[in-house]
Amino acid sequence: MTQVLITGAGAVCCLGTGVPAIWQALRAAPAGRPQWAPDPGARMQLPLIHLAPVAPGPEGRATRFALAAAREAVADAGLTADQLAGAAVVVGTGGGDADHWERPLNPGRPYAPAFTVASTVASALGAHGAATCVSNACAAGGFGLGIAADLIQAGEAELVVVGGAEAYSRVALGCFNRLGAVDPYACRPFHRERAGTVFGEGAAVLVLESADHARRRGAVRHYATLAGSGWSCDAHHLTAPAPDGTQIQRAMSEALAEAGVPASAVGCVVPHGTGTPQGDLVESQALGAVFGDRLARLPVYSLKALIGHTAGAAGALGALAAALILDRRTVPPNPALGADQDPACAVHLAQGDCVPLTGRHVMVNAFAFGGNNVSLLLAGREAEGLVA
Amino acid sequence: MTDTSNSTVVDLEQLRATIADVLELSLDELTDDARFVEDLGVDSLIGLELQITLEVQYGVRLTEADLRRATSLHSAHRLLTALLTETDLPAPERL
Amino acid sequence: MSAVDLVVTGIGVVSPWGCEPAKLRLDGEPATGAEESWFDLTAELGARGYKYVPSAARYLLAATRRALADAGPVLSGVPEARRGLALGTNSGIASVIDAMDETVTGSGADLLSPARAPYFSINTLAGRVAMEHGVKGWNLTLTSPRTAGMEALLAGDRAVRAGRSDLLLAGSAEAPLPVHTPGHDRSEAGAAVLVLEPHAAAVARGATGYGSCRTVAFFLPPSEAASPAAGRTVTAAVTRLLGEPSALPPVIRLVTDPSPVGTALAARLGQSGSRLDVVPAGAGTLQPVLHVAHGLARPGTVHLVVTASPDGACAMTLLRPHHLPDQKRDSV
Repeated sequence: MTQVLITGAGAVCCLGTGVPAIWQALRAAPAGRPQWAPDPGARMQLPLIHLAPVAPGPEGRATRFALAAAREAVADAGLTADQLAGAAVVVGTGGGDADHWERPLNPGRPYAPAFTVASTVASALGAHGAATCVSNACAAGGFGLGIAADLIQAGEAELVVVGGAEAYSRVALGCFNRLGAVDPYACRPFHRERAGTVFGEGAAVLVLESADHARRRGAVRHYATLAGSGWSCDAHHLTAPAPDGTQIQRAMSEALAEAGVPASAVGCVVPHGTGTPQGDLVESQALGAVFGDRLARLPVYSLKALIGHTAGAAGALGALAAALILDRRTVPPNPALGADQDPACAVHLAQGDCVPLTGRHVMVNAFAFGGNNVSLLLAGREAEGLVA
Repeated sequence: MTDTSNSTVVDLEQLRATIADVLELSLDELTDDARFVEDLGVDSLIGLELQITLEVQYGVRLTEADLRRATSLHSAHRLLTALLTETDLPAPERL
Repeated sequence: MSAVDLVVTGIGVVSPWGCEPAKLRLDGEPATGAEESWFDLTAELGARGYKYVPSAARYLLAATRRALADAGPVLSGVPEARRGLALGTNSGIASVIDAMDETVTGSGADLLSPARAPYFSINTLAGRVAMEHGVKGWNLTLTSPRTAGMEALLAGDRAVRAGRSDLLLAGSAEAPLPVHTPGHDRSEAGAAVLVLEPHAAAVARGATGYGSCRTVAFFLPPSEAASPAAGRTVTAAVTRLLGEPSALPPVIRLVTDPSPVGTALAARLGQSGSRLDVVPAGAGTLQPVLHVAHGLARPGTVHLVVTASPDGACAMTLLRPHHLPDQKRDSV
């Protein structure tokens, strides 16, 4: 197996722009407070969203998030234009540039497909590898990372700029309203009164490269390695998870198997956990099946409680959090949940202070409509015997 | 108890046609007592679809409790009839 | 990389260019007018069960059924967890989104159809197919402009090689863009699905198959599509596909448009000495996959299908059809 290193990172979400600002905010763990979408067309009961800051520009909103995160990531990795010319680009996005599809429509704008997020990033970076847009809904970013690692393993690329990006979509939010899947207060994963999710905007982009490539170009650091991914599909229902959780359990097991480590190697899980009643329950039970009794003390980092459900970006932002947790050997605190945690979701949500990471691996889950499931396994530097 | 057999507020055959259309069934298949979930395989999404269709067509607002009771054409008919005649019976007796 | 050589053992198409892979009229204009002239929902899928399913998913379901019927009893030999599905689409739900947006901004989200609501998410097209055929291994929806159908072949092949499944369904599905959208006149409609399985598995069950195909994808930034660096990118892609840059087949079919990227790629390929058939592209990912399907089902002169999108996405699929002396496939 080729080692796949994470050598650069960039991100934007409601907590701010840039990895340093976001990490600082994660450590402070403010409970997520969504806002009312500033959209007069959003005729729905709960137009709630965590908006993220974005520079103006001619591109669609999701593309602008992706560009900001990608530029930060490649600068962080210290890549030159020559090196970037050989890069492939993979971006997960559920809705693409939804603002170009939705009203007000601009009849004067020439036809452009909605899913140009990856190709616009590739253009901006001058990357000549394939530019692939992955749209597995709320698992898109997670699948993007899995594809990117496979590209390197297969020898199709040595350097991949990969992530996920999602912007406000009136239609997506309207449909979630119609399906009764929006929580009226906040995104409250594993809360006993959780009533649905709350979307958030943002993007995370990581630079992945083979260890050989990183060594040849003299990369100065890496956060972690992407050691494995596991993919599955419920093939059960368009919106509801299969109640038995068999397939999400298999995604987790296959990610572990691909990394060649037992479940006991995992020191933290960044779950999919979106706040939907059934989804959080099924995931908790599947985690129990994979981690057994250890689930009671295995730190679970419920990122969406802070930034909302960033849909196609969620798997990438989860992977970013995992990479930072491994890099800093620290699990930031979850927002206070206390006695409000659903006893049926028997996950360990450390609250109050940061806790030291004890394991060498962090798992990230991303699940989606259509029962699309992906689990990622990231490994810390000490798992390679390369303590930096 | 409301006697639905005398009710003309909600035409049973019109309701049968409406529900059969939502559920993609022939009129014969949608018998008075076939249970939506157990016998006809209605899932949560189609259940919601049925709710919104009936609300729009009959100008009523259906609560979750209403829906739990409207488990067949027969019970849906009684429910709608009760709602449209504004029967002020306590909920458990409304059907 | 493991040595898994996939062979195409089934092809299913529903499209206005025809529904028989060997007889697609790809040189002519597609059938225009109502969908009913080329797609019979009841005949394809049955009288019920698809009321709330949007057009692109209906096409995809129908093409998948046709492909699996064509492949013969392949699913029975592959456990559900070992089946994978990769779909490319650009405008599969564009009209669905547009109609939903009209409802939300008009009468409000309360009047959205709940049974149709899940289809705001483009991956439910493939999700619906996964439900129908127990595809539990994995499910990918790719949306890169124009190339995503061919990329589905590439990503699917890679996933099988990585050990993620033993069977691959891959293809494209599109539905027309909203009438008021620029580009509506170039809309595509229909679906094409290929069944791919390891050569050894096909042989073991006595399936001959149509042959094999291999895909590469690359990117030409529009601002430098004609640069020497872009030329090297094309050469490198051809080399990855064929082993050496000079080995291009005598006839190349390029599905593109007169954008700087399309023009530059046509110029590069035209220098090779091969004959270049340039086909005007539609608004989606379907036409390149139809050319692949046709090239396998009716082996002719075209052994390389190429596509390029104005945003820079490019892909090439090399066809290695089995030449069937009795032209059995033509009579299917």
